[in-house]
Amino acid sequence: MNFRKIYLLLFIIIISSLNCGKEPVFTEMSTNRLTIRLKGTFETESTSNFVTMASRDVETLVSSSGLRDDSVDDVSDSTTLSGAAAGMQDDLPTTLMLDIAEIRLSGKKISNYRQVLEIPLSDAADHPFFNGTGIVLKTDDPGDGYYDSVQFYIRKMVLDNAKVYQSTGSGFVYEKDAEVIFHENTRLGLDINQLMVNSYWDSLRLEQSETIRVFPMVIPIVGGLTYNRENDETVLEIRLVIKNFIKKYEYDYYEDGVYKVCHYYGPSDWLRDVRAGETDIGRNLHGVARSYVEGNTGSIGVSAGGTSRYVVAIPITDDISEYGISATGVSLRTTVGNSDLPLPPSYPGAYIDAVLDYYLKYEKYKNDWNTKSAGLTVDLYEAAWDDYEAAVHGYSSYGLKIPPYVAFTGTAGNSVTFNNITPGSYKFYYCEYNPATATNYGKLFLVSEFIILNSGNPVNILAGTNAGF
Amino acid sequence: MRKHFTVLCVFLLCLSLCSELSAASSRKKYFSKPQIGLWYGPITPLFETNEHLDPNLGGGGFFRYNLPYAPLKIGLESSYQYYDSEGVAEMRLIPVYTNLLWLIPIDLPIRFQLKAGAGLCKVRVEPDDINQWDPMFMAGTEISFPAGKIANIALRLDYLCVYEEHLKGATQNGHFFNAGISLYFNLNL
Repeated sequence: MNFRKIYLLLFIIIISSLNCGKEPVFTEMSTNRLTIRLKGTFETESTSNFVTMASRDVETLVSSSGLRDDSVDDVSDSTTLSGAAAGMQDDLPTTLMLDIAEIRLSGKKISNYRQVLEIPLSDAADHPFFNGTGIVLKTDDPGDGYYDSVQFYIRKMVLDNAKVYQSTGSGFVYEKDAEVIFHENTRLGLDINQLMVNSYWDSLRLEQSETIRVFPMVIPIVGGLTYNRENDETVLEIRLVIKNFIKKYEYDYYEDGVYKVCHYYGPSDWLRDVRAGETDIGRNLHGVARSYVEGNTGSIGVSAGGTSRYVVAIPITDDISEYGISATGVSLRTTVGNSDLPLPPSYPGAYIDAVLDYYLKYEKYKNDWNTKSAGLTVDLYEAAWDDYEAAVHGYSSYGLKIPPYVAFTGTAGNSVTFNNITPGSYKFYYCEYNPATATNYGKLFLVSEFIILNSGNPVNILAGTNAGF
Repeated sequence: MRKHFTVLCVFLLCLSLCSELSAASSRKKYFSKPQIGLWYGPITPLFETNEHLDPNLGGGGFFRYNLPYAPLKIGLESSYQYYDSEGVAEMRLIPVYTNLLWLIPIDLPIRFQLKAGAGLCKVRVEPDDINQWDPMFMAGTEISFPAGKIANIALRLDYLCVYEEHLKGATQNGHFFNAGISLYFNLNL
């Protein structure tokens, strides 16, 4: 060993220092350039062009302007039950509780901060979740790059005012409000995450390990997110379709040999129809994300040509068929035909009355099965469900796409203004939607309901104010 | 402050008195040999860096060689330091630096050394995907005693500054404190 070797090492270090990094790492760590805003609305705009959240009767079917899904059959009207009184019968949900565990961008983890939200289900509450502003979620910044999807890990999603009714043999009576542990406290409500599955057909498929469809919920970023830390603020807006999209369902179960039903609230089954006796409501929660760089967006006014219309804009590269379905969810389910086999009754446990009841139901189930499965082969079964999955966009990892830009004309106006569009080329459509019409509640759009605007000509949106049409 | 200074003086005086009674005088020359060693111990971010990263355990290695002026040695050190955070951010540091060590000329069975140096630090940050070398400086102290003819044990306390304020847009540097127990060996080079 001699000193020359030491000097050589020193020389190497000095030479290396000429090639030092360019990024101020420690300053970056204390800077947050990506803002994630979470909204519960179908509409994009933050200050106007909204449909109001109408109060609806919980006992009336959705088709008659109520909140009740057609799968609610055992207790179709809780006000007629023996002993029914305020608090002991169905009531409107008032609070949505979300426990968010993690957020990823194209698989890259950007947040593992636990974020617990309690959101009043009301327009009047002026909560950012529903007033279009959006709740800002705590995240870290991703690295520079392009991201096309958000994985949104929802640990629990609770809607309150879930009621439990128990059978008396001759009818049902109110038992209690359903309870759930939420944020380490006992709360009233039902965690619908556990029902967010599609087990009837997922169990036969490779992706069955991902059956809980909100852990994660995979949300497409329409137009993608190109993150560059040179930009001071990049906004990623995530919208979950919850406003005007909640229905009442019925969950059937046995407890200590007693047949019970729980009336709870969840996202509308407009896409994947939920039928009586079914407990799975997975892939009916729809979401979309879009991104923009603050200060680099365009605005445009669009005439919809009539009142009570939604105006939507989609990137020119997308096809409108990705944003709707060809027929209603109910009719798509019907087309599954005799491959849509009856569900077996659940075993109630060793209680003699309940078991006798179970065997009766089981005999009926066997008869129904034999009737339906006559002539059914595995190939026919598989083909029928494949067709169904294709029709409800089941083969897309995102499911049904929601338009990235949506605005409502109002019931009196006939135009909308989009204030925050990422520069690019878009196609504009409108859909007739009158919120006062009962049949529109809890529904999105069929492909045929999208009517193209501007004579089908795409519009090139530039930063700043654009000429409307 | 004055009280602390008095206590420190009394402590050093006691140590110097004890040295006359110890049998370690035959090993006093261990500082004069080249040495190689390892260290392991708690590492923690300091100041504003502490707001974003959590403390952890880290370790490293070093080599020291004598200089013509006996109380001084030159060292080459490196370590691996991983810092997690409350969120998803995580940082990996590999400082590589040279330093100058000065043996405080007090004749004690334990040796006090002061050290200062500079070099480069490999910084890797996730999820930002930043992977680069930054200049760095260090200062520290080491309290050591011989554990036999060839081995020594030391407590080392180092402050590391990863310097970034020269970069465009930078307002912060990285500050870290390393404490560690080290074991190192005298070499007959």
